[in-house]
Amino acid sequence: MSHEDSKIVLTLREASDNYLTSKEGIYLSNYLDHLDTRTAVVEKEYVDKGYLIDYSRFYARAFKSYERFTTRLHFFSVDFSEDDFKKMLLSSNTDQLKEEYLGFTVIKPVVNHKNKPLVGRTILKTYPEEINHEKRYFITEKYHVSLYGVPLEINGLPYKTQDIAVGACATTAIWVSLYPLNKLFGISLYSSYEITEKSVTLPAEIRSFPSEGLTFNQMINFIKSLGLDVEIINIEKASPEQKNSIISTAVKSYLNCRLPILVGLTLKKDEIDPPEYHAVVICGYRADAYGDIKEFYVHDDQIGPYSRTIPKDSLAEWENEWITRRGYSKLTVNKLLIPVYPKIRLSFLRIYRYFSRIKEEYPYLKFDLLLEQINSYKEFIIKNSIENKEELLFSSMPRFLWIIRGTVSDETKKDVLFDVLFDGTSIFPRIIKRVYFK
Amino acid sequence: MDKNKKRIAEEVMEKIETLINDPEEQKKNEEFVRKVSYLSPEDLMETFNI
Repeated sequence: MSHEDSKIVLTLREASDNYLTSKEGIYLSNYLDHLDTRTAVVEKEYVDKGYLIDYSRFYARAFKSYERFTTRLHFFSVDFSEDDFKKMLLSSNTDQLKEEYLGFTVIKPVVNHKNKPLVGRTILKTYPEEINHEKRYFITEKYHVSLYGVPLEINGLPYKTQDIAVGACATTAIWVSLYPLNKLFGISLYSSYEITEKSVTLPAEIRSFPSEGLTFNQMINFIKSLGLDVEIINIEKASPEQKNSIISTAVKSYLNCRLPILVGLTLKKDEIDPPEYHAVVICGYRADAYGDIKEFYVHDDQIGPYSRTIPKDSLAEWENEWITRRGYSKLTVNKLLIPVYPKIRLSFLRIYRYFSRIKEEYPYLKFDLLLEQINSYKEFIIKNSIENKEELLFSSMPRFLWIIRGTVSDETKKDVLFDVLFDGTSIFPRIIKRVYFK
Repeated sequence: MDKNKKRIAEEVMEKIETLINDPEEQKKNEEFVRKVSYLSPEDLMETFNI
């Protein structure tokens, strides 16, 4: 046992050396350094529900003994010693802890093939929203955390690395996507074991446990078993000129509604090797002043949370650690899979082509395609200067709306001209309202 | 909203309405939906396992 094992307050360096030693752990350490993390607080014998279910369903039945408890590390952007921390707790002077909280990571008592501890459920603050006149957008939710009785809050999207015993990349990507779906639609959360177990009720020739991955069909099967439906965008079938626009529009539309996008990726080492398939979740993007996407942020179970991913020649060709450090030469988006509430019956693809046509007709205007829930859209109506505000607020409207927004902009300002509202619960596009901005 | 912007807004909204009610556009739209959402048996059996 090292000296750090008995301490509960560590520097980031000490926490990294002791706990963040896997490749994903090293990524986390670098990310935390970028967030200017100064101090980590260790919570030993932490009961992580997801791990405990995986433990009871898989590890408890192994001949080898595994621990039931995990270790949770909490991160802060302020320096304090163990004595300072105890004084803050005992005197109820915890405001600074709340203000400087950056999130947590759970370290599981199981190791990967290199004998490094696996990174479990992790919720960390995102990158800053603004950078050099460009904006970042993330799917985040507020999560409540208790550290030795101190109530803390963090906005983020849960992440974890894959535990091949109970699930590979596809299972982990679904696990990530369940968190926003839980907040939005009350969908239950499942552990990795449970996700894999439900998915493989649709048989495939590969092994279920230890997991050898999921087929695309099994991923769809799991999402449908939750009572949700799926929106599938087969990027490979789109023409080269359509790919960019479809990906950009879909990412902005769904992330605006806080719906996660699961991405099927094809990885190739060279032209001779067969393709390999990987699943990740797009959880954010950075756009320039014109709204063009310059960077994706991806929860990749084998890289880390908010992994920065740069589009190469198009938004369908990516560059990140798979290319720069892992020996692959090509990383291609092949499919998007979006879990949707069944009442969103008007699919993205049914509205997208009209949106695309109108953009062609009026190249001097800027258009956005948005998916909105009626409550949040009416809040938007209240806050904005709109000619027919009263009519809109008192009108009965469907729970989900697709919106084509037209904007005119010059060098100095951007004016929204109109919104055209489509009934998101209809099968085919049906306009229900026009919104005139003042 | 000034008159010119209102005129543009009206024109574009009318165009959207015309497009979605045009049978030829509707036919092209359905063809596009079928093409870009189609999954072959091979697509469905792709195994995501990295």
